[in-house]
Amino acid sequence: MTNPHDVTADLPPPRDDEPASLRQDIVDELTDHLQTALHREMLTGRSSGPCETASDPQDSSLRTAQHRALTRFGNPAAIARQLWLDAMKERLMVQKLTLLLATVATAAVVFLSIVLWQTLQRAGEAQRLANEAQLALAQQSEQMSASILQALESLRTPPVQESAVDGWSPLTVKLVSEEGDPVQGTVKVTGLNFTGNQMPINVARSAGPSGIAECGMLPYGNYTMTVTATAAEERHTQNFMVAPGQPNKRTIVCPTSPPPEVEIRFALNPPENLKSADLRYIASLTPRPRQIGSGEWRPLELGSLSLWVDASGRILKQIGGQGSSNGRPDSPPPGVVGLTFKPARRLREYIYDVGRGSVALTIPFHTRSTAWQNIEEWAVVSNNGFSPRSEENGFEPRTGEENVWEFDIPEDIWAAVFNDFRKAPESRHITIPDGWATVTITESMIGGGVPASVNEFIDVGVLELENVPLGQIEASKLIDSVQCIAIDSVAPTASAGLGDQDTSGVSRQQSAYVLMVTSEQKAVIEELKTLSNVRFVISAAKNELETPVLHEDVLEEIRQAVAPDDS
Amino acid sequence: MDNKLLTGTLEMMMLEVLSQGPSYGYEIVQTVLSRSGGHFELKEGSLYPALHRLERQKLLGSYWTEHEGRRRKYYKLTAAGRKALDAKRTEWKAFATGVNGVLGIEYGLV
Repeated sequence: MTNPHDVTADLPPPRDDEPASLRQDIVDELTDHLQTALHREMLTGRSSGPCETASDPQDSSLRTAQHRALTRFGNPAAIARQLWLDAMKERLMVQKLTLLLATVATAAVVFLSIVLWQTLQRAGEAQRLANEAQLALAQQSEQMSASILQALESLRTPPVQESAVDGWSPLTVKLVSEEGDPVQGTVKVTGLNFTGNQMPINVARSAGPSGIAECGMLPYGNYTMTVTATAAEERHTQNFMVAPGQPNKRTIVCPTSPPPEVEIRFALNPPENLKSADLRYIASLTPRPRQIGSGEWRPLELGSLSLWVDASGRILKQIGGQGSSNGRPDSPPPGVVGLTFKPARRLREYIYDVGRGSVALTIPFHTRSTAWQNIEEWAVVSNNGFSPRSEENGFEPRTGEENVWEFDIPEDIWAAVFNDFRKAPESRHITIPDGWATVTITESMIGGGVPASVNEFIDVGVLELENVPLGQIEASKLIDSVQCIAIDSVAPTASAGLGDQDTSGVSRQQSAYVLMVTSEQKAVIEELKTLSNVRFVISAAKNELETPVLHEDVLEEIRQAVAPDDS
Repeated sequence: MDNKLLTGTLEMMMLEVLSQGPSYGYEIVQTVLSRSGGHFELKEGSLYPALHRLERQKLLGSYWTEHEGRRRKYYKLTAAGRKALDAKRTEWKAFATGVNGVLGIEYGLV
């Protein structure tokens, strides 16, 4: 019969994870089977007997029994191997899976390590670049700080003994009079340097009794220098350039005193019809700079000044410039109502450019209590610009001279001013001009139409009572575009037959319309007013004409209608 | 007999043998072969992988005894094995009824 080692012939080599009794159990079980089978075959063969024919009947029987037992059993070694594999299958699979997982894990670890390494490499590179950038920024900041500190140091310390380095140069300004004496003042330098980051420069230094202002080190660039002569109350401005490495020493000839003040007057010379008007001429004067040495000097108080001049040329008020009253009129003395002005003004001896002005009228301010409120009531009714006479030469007041500035306003400008004023509520202050007249028509002479208002332009019609029923408003238009410049109240006249008495028989005041017409038109109206059977009709004018138009044909019809019949 | 037909029923037959009481490999094989009336011509060794498989499936239990100086492994049916056997019996009856019906065995047609 087979030996146990024959059963184990095909078993795999022993494994560490193999159960200790596995091989032995398999061998014992199969061996038990084979032994039992052999024993059965032996018993079966002994009882049948045909196989015991060999020389050694016992050995022959045993071999036959073994052969038959193995034939019926199959290959014990192969079955043992299969049993071992079946028992170890799970462990083998786990081992393979573990190996696979370990391989995968190893590969993953290797891959992640590579990725991590590359990431670290990149991060390191980025960190290196960042460090380089930070270092560059730090170096740039350090250089900038150094340059700023250097600039501040140069501004703080007198640079006279310093040598010009790196495009920075010292600036020294000396203020002298025309006679060469030192002048006190201030020097202000502003500008942008040409180097680096266009750092703005703003330096202010005082020149004391020595007249010297040390402005410190300035970088290469263009600058503007403003010098103020303290005593003269004037300033001078010039541009200059600081070249790299070249010390800058500048001498400025300065005024030592302001121009003297002189009294001035104005001549406005309005036409006759405006002389009586409460007229204001508002003039604009701008001082020109004066020449001192090679530089121009201007008064510290910049800009133009405005002078208000009345019709007689008297200066009423000054706005801006030296001694300005900030546009407000002088405060009235106690008990005085209305605007008050100083009668005369003084100007320094500059040459003044006289600009365009405007003309205004004042309205009565006796109802006002304060001057400032009154100024609000000024009415600029004409803004016609015009050119004064000496626009090119300018007004040049000088000591010892009359210093009268005559405004040469053209006639057409005055005519336009008058036309504007004529429409204004203040027009009654205007003198009726030559060729013009006023005519009054009372209510008793009006046969129809609507009441007029002040400043309204009306058309005047006329009707003849014998041919037209009284009260019928159908009249022939006699004059177009007549201005009603006032409405007065007058006592009823003896000849008044209409509207002068109410139903109680008490006489009342009548309205009298003051119309501005030409002298010829006034004569016509006065003629018609003498005719008892003629009445006037007023209505709003269709047109506002500069001169009223008289319809001669209508006048002739009226005259014929009312003329006495010779026959 | 075709071994393919035998393979599907071998485990059921071994469970059936063990349902009578514990037994060892050789005895189980011999019982199956004798009960089959000699129709099953299987190698005896081929039954051991099936026995070990049923043991790993907890359908069978085992223990060792000493017999004539040799170790002998006895198998016994577990509770799970008994349930499995019942199920396989039911399944086989249905299968055999179906096959017999088709073949006309039940009605004496064959």
